[in-house]
Amino acid sequence: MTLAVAVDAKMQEVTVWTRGVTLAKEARDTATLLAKAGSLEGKYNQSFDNYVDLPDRINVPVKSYARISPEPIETYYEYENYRPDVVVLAEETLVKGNPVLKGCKDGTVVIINTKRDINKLVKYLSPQENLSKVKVVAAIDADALGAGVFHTFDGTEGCIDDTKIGAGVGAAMAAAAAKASGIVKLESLLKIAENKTAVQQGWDTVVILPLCNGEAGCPVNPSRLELEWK
Amino acid sequence: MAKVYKQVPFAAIVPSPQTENEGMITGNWRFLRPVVDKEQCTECKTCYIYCPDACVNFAKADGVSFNLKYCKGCGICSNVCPVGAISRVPELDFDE
Ligand code: SF4
Ligand code: SF4
Repeated sequence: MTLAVAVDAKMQEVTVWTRGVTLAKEARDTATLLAKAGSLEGKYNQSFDNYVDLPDRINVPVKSYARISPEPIETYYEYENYRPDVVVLAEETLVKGNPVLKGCKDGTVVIINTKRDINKLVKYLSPQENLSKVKVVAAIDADALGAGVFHTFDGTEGCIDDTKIGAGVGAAMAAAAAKASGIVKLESLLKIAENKTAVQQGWDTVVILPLCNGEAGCPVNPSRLELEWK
Repeated sequence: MAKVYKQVPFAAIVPSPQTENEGMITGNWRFLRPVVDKEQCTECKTCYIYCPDACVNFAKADGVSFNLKYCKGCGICSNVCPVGAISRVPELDFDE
């Protein structure tokens, strides 16, 4: 199968990993915010969920996607991001047992919602052979910033959701992803998200850790990790 | 007509009976891991009865253990344990 993404050479893909039901809305918000922010900046965008991953099961790992491109997006009928540029983990335990780096490009940016030591999380990222493609790992304690909309059983599934886009942790995660990857601007997110404080705090408090210079084969330097991570 | 349904494995796609299905590992649903304090455990097997994923087993000589490939961390076992022997520890506190 030829991937249609080859058509969209300038398209950037964001994959947000999350937990079914309990955090599904927040990941969807993150993807939607980034896509809509891209559209405010005059770019083309798509955002959608993955419905293959059993999203109606509580805590099952599921994905939400966004695509942003300066040119019209030709990739219509592929409902999965095969080559992510930005990988967001809405919950820290997702680093274990999930192939979050699968298909990632050189220079991938990973954002993890955690308050743990990132050194201890990097070693779980899999597949390990793709770790050398990761340019930056960023940590954001979005749970603290988006308090109020987290692990809820209400309003997680579409039509009954009245909390609006970016009311909770999704706003902080989108801001962290934007700052770490430069995919969209802070101002654009502020215009769209319901919780503007969480966006601003997400932008201000994200801790960005460069792993390599983004070139193919650039090794991860653990000693550098130890030094730069606070 | 050939009895096509007889060609379908029992339980559709999962060969049965068995307790594990390698095609559907669900341990990565878990963010809290059950940990049993064997000093407190009376081996009453209440957790075994209640675990919806049949993850609790007593097959090993050293008492209760959990099949972490399938334990979803739901916490039911810890809720039903009459002596409070099961605690729930963040998954990332464990290296393996
Ligand atoms: S319910 Fe508690 S006491 Fe009973 S076997 Fe399980 S861990 Fe042991
Ligand atoms: S946490 Fe849930 S799935 Fe895991 S052993 Fe206990 S009852 Fe079973």
